[in-house]
Amino acid sequence: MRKVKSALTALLLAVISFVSVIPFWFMFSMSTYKSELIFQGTPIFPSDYFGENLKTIFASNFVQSYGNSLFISIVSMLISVIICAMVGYAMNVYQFRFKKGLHLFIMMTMMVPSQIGIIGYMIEMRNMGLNTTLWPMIFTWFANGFGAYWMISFIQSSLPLELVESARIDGASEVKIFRSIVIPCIRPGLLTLCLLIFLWSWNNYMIPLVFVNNANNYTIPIFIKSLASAYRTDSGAQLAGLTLATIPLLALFIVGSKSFIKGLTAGAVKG
Amino acid sequence: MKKKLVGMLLTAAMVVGLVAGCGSSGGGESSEADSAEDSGTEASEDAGEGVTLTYWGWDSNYYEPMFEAYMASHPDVKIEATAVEWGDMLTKVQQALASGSELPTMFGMDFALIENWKDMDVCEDLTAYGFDKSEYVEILVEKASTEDGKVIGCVENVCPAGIAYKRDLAKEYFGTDDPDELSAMFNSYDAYAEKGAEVYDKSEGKVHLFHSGQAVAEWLYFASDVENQTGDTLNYTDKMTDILSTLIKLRDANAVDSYQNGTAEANATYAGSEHIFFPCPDWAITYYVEANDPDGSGNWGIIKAPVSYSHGGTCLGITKQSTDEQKQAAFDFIKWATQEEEGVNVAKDKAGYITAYTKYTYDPDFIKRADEDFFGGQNISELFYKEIVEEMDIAPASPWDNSITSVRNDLAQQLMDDKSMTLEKALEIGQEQLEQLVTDDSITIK
Repeated sequence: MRKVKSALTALLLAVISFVSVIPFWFMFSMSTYKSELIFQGTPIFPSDYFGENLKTIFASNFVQSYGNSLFISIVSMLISVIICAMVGYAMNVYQFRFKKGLHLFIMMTMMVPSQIGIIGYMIEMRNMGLNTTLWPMIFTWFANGFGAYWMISFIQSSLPLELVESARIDGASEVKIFRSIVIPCIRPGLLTLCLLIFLWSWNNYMIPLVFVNNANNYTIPIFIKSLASAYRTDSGAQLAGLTLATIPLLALFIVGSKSFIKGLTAGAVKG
Repeated sequence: MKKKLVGMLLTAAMVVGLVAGCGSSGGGESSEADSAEDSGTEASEDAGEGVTLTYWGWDSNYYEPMFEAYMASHPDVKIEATAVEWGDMLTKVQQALASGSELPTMFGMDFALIENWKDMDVCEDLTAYGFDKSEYVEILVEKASTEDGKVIGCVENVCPAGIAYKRDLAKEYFGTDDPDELSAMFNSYDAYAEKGAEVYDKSEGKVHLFHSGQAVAEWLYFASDVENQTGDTLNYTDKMTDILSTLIKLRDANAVDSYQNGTAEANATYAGSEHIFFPCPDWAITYYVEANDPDGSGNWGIIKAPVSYSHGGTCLGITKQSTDEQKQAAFDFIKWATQEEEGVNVAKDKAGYITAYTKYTYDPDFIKRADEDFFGGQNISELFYKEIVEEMDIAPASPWDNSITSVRNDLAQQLMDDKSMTLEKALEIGQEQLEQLVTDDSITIK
């Protein structure tokens, strides 16, 4: 009975894995075809046109766009995660006036669609003289309601306050406590948030759309879209671009998958 | 070990990101736009002082060769282009306007949405720079003019439209690939429905006349003489009935397939052998036909549609925000691109665009396209720029065309996906959608 059960589970997992992997495989396989041939049949097996498609995208400013996206996503991820972790720490460890109100405010920021504030954000960036740089695409992640809420919840469930108190008694400074005690305790949550911020920043379209007015500032989503207008019919090149664009996400996920899952399921068995 | 690996990967990525993100631009990339920019920079440096123009647009098949050629012959001018996807253009400009952000010196405006651009009031009046309306094809220049006579943009090309067809399939199903015989055979929408049903039966359900209901609806929209708006009334029912009743007739005859227009799958049908006709404005020859079926040279022909019509096009406008020097330089470019021998020839040879400047539009020697071999040697130049241009008409645009177009697209696809949907049902759905989109209470949707 147990064998049948585990065989069925394995089969179910195999089917789910197959369904999940198939779109990626088709994306890669299609990127190896000449555009006119992609939809002539079902491109299950790769063809021999990948090099040509790569040539097409590298002939545009793909490298610059890739670099921009990497820069934006990494800086956004690092700073946003640090800020969110600090917010989580402060909201759990310190007692101060209006704490409940602040908590409510953080929750409220998650309810408001980011598009609503985009005009105000554009005005702010223009007044700061940053509207023609990459920084508007980065700053938008610094005050991240979801990240703050995530870290508040995560720290609440995974950081024993006694540890912090013991460290204080031993004379550790707040920075030292945060760095040496809090960070190791919340690592799975931090890594999960890292992956999420990186993913959202990498795929962000709206903010770059309104701020990018120069080919040197293109990010990957804008580049792929511009490829759609510049080479409207070159689906092969677009898919090759998309294939390359998913590599950092896949690499990050593979490297951090254990922590990612741990972070997502943290607290799930508590109750 | 894993920690070390993550650290190394992140550090490496960070370094690459920093180098690429903050490094100086143009480090070895060689896109056409960039190379155009680069050559402009060099030219500017050579010439000492110069003027830099910026441009937003989606029609890179036009602007890249044009800017490159212009900068080569005008070394004191540098033009920097930013590719903006067609569907994002209005949003981007509206948001830049709302936030007071910088607009480019010039941009491409979708001619079909010209009323929206007029409403935004961001463009210079070209007549202030010496633009003579009488020198351009009248119906086109009138469409780009405001009620008080200002011209907000200059159309890049005259946009006559016909119906492209595949010769091998025409021969197989109609017994001829001769454009004159086919024109006579397909002289009404009823004829398309009748022949469509025959082809479908003969091919045992494999071949349709058209690949996309949305493409057919788009053709019928531009061919319709019903005005979208009269006074404060949107003539929705009349307009959509005009379009959708014909689409339904063609659908019920199995003359139309259900691909979504403009998608990669739909574009791939140009090279396939299951669709015979494709609605085809002159700009679509390079943009769609030749690009999607590069190996199909000689296998294409073009006939007139039952009603000669004009479809789409792009207008070049100059923004009010620009400096006087930029405005004048931008106008000089527009003049070069549409009036001067060098510019109009680059547009014709590189993009397949024929200027709407009548001196050239009506010159039988000038209009001769270089790609007639692709159409089996057919004299498509005379067909487009003599026969169709003289007969075509354009229904006046309205500020709500964007919404009407969106509803039209949606209804066309719904009609193709649900073969039992009636005209009345489609009109009812469309009315509801349009009421959501039209936010001005003073407008009545009839």
